[in-house]
Amino acid sequence: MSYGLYISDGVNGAVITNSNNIFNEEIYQSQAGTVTGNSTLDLNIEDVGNPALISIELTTNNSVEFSTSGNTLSLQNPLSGDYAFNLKVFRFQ
Amino acid sequence: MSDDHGLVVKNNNGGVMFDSRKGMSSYVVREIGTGVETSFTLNDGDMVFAKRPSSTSNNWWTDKIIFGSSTLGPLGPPENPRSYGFYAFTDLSSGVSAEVNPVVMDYFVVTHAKNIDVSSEDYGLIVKNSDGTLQFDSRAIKNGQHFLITDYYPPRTFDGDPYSAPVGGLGDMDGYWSMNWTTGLDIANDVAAISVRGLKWIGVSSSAGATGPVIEAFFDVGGEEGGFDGGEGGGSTVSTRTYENRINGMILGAELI
Repeated sequence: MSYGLYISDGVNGAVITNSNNIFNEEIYQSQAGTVTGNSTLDLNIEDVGNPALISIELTTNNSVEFSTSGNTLSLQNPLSGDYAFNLKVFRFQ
Repeated sequence: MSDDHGLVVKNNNGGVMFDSRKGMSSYVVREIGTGVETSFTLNDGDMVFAKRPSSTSNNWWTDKIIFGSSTLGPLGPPENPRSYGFYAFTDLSSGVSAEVNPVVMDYFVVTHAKNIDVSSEDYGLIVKNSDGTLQFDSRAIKNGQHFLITDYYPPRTFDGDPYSAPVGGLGDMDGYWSMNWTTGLDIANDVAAISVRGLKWIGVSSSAGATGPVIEAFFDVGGEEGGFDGGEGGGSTVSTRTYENRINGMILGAELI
């Protein structure tokens, strides 16, 4: 490699170079919360609508639907009860 | 910190390796197991990937549902850290009875860089988020141990019945697949009910041409006492099987590079 990033462990050589991929978990303020009955909750998360960049882990009632577009992830609760959710967003790149 | 200050590094593919302007936490390979009896420690937040060992014939896998579990006991909050291993659920006697046994898998575990003990190292690069939490620490990466996410299926992509059309495989039969979404639980011993959610390496072809392991997930209520106490070699008599709809878990394919 003649350009870019090169991080050595000081013993064996490079542990990170330009060609490596890093898998990250996104940290943001609304990872956990409640979506109230018969309502939609919109969360603003950069790039969340791009499946090539982002993956999602959502734990909540199975009737709560989610959709993504642009920088918005929407949770739709069609039931009358309120449901807690836990959301993790992963960044492939 | 404003958006035009900080450290951003992209790789050859244009992907973000780290970006101090974003709140992120990087994953690194913590452990790789190959061809050994798999019983290892898992922490909250770790991700487990597994594949069938190449030394076992294809036919051996066709009637087994593979899942990862920290326990086969009754439901309860998992311990942290906890011992974790892989199991094979097999229907016997044309679906009338079943058994669960430990199974050897090739696997690797990834974890947040912050979970790796690097106290003995003082050489490398650390990137922190704006709130002071750790985003990236090169000391947590072992030389030559990297992984790449190759496939991604959002939560609720699949139903649990692999026999209802259309049946589609996840992808590479010889690739690694995430196992965190799988489970095998003895719900209540006195009613011999179990819940199984896992992968079957049967390599089916769908109408779209996709092949690879398929998902099978169901809830069985047995006709007599027994359940799967302790798991190993346990058996039960199945009277009612209900397949799970819309598996609620992110499923990832990966490879070691």
